[in-house]
Amino acid sequence: MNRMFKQVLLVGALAVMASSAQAQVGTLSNGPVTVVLNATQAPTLTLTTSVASVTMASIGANVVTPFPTFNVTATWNLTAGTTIRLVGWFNTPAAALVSGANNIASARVVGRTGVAAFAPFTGAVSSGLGVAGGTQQLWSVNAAPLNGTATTNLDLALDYVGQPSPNAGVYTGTLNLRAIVQ
Amino acid sequence: MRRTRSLLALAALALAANTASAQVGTLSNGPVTVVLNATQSSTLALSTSAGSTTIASINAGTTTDFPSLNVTAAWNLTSGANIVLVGWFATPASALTGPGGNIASARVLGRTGAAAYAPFTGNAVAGQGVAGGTAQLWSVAATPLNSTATTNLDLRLDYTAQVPPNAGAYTGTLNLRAVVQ
Repeated sequence: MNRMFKQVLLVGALAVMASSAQAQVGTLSNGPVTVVLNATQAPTLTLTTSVASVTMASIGANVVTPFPTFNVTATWNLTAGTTIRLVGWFNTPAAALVSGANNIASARVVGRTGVAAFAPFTGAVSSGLGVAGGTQQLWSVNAAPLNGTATTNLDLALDYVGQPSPNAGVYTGTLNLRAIVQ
Repeated sequence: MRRTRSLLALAALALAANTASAQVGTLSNGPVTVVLNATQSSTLALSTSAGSTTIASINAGTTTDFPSLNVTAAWNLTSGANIVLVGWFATPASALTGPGGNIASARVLGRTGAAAYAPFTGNAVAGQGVAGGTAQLWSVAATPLNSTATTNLDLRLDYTAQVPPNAGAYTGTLNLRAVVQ
């Protein structure tokens, strides 16, 4: 009888131990504890051109002489906006291209995107960009979707139709291009 | 008659003296016992050094790190081999959400210590987390059974070779829980 009683006690003790050990595994912490993550993707608008320079071998007299066509690509990631506008300008309209003491005015430089009509760089500041008398809005593209990209051709030419040819020389100038969201 | 009263008085005094003498050294029944029972419940508490962490600007085409934070586990157990830290996002497809879209948990990486970063794309661990949005972040020995441990928790967004998310402010909640194994 005494032996049987001891056995019962032993079995009971083992059962309690097993129960305690089992209860610990799987014990969960408070919570879940949370960490709030905040991240901002800043708006971006990037402009690139397919070439850094273009060259015409010879300016034609009394004609429009084109530069080789190149591409302009705008890439944007915005939170708002309806239109991406491309503005081009020469810093000094009277001397868009320079060869020593000789200049080619921005009025003689014409440009277009797509198949629009060529227009001279003689406009006023556009969307806060450019300089008076040396600017042109070249392109306008829908900003939707707000994370997008678009490419267009940019054709430039020198227009000496009905004008005396510039003095002989090698002329160099810099066209500034910038895109803006509106 | 008077003599009889005297005898009765003497008898009473003798009885009283005998009774008083019998009280000294008398023990109660027993000992009576009182069993005291008290339980210190097992505990496992998790805390973080910050309730939120912020990236000012997500880098395009690469990784961007959140400021590191610390996670502390404090436990008081009767048994157990390891404390495992599990982290998860409730909705893997939109771990962080913003006006322009979502950032999936696959783009969120985490690590503790100096381990390699891993995305929150795993299945539930030890019953914690959700399928496709979970990572086991840390495992520490549970011994001694009444102890505490702290580790860094580094989180990052990985847009390596990926199109960046749409511009905007994104917010999400990482759930953390420790479990005894």
